[in-house]
Amino acid sequence: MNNASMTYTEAVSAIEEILQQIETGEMDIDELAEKVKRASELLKFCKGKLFQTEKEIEKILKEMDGSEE
Amino acid sequence: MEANPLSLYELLGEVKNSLKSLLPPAFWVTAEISELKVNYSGHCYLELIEKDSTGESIKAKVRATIWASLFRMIQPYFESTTRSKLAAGMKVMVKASVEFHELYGFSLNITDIEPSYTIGEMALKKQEIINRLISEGVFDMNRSLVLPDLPHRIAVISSKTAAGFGDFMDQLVHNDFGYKFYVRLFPAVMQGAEAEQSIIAALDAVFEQEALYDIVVVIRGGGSQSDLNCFNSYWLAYHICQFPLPVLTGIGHEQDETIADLVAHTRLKTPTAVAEFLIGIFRQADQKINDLSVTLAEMATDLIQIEKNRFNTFMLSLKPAVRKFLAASSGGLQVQGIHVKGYAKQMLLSEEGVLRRRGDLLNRLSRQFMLVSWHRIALTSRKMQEVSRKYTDHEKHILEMLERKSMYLDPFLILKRGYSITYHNGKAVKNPLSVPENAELTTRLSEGVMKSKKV
Repeated sequence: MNNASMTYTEAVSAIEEILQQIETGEMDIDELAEKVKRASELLKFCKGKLFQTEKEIEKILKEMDGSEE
Repeated sequence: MEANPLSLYELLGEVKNSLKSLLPPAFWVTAEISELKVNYSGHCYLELIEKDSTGESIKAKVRATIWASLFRMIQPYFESTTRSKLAAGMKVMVKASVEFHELYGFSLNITDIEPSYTIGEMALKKQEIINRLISEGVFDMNRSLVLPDLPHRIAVISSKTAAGFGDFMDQLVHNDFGYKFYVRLFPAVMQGAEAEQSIIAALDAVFEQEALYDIVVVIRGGGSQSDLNCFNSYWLAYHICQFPLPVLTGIGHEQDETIADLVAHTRLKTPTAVAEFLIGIFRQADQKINDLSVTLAEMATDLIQIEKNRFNTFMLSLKPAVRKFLAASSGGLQVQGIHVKGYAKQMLLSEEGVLRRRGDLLNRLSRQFMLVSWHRIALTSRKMQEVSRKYTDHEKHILEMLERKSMYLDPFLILKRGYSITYHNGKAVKNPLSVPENAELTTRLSEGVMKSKKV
């Protein structure tokens, strides 16, 4: 499950799916721990998209600016 | 041979005079502007035409002039009503006088204009364009695109010097919430005759880097006098319709929507409104993530509670099991005591293992969460530790009791206290009368053995 290639939209869907599973599924405590951990990671990823600078995008945009001079 | 030929100048003079005397001084006439130039001294030179009913060929054409002194007033007057400058392609109603000059030939001199005619014509033309876009099936295309959940890579088409652009950037970059946007300007001329081509060229430039952006924003500052004509052009609208990313417009006017506004994915009034709209989308996303986090924490906390209850019930079930073993052991002392000790220890060890594993799992779970149920969970786990400790303490206590009990009953410890055991023929004597006189007796003491005879 590679976060780098995941989009914000995909992450949100994944989180909602996990919540659905927790709510309806008969889960033992190990599986629950796994799912919760995954959902937490995804939530952190989503928040990140809102607030953090993404070096990759900035780099590409800067390159574009440079080549247009 | 003709008797009295006229000179050219004379002939043309005759024509001039005839025209002047025959025709009224001025006419109101409708025509289409096919060319328009303004020279450095402010005079406006036009070519007016009329096309035939098919619109393909021209059936009438004339040169026209508007002298600077009048053009200075006519142009702003026209623009204030139509919100556009006089330009080629427009249909106008003008007051004109017929001019004939021996040298410069025939022309019209325009002294007045009726802008409402042009508005009517513009509205007609606008509707024609809209109908054409609809019939070509492209009118709804851009609007049917889906706006990304998080549109944070933005291609802006605007002019660097436009006030609207500065405001937009400022709002986005310095938004109150700290949201991060990536904005790239694709500069274009945003009004006048070159605007249409310039904006289309900018759209093409964005198209080449389409994958790097989520949306396109077309903005410029407004003002009631601004020239919106370019935004009603067919080609610009066509390009917007077909554009693969959602296009948002904020071209700063309160009045009728332009065709560009109608076909764009989302139309906002001003550049500021566009910035607010985008920040609003981020706000919603922010809210949604918070809601999901809370739901996750609530669900998992509930499940921990259920598990904790199961755990407690299990702990309570240990006590009766230990009690059972106590009852069984009170019959056979030493041996039994050792067995109970060993068995209880073994049982407790395995239970302890299970307890520890569950405790670990629960600890792990509580650590995963991001939100603040920490103190609640910490409290719970502390309570659980107390409970398990209480029970193991209880077990230990029982074992100690058992040990002590079996110690009391250990024969060797009894001997140490000074008691002795007397044997006759190998059997312990309990009753003196069971032994005959002079019987040989062996007495076992703590430290040794004694032989005696009964007296």
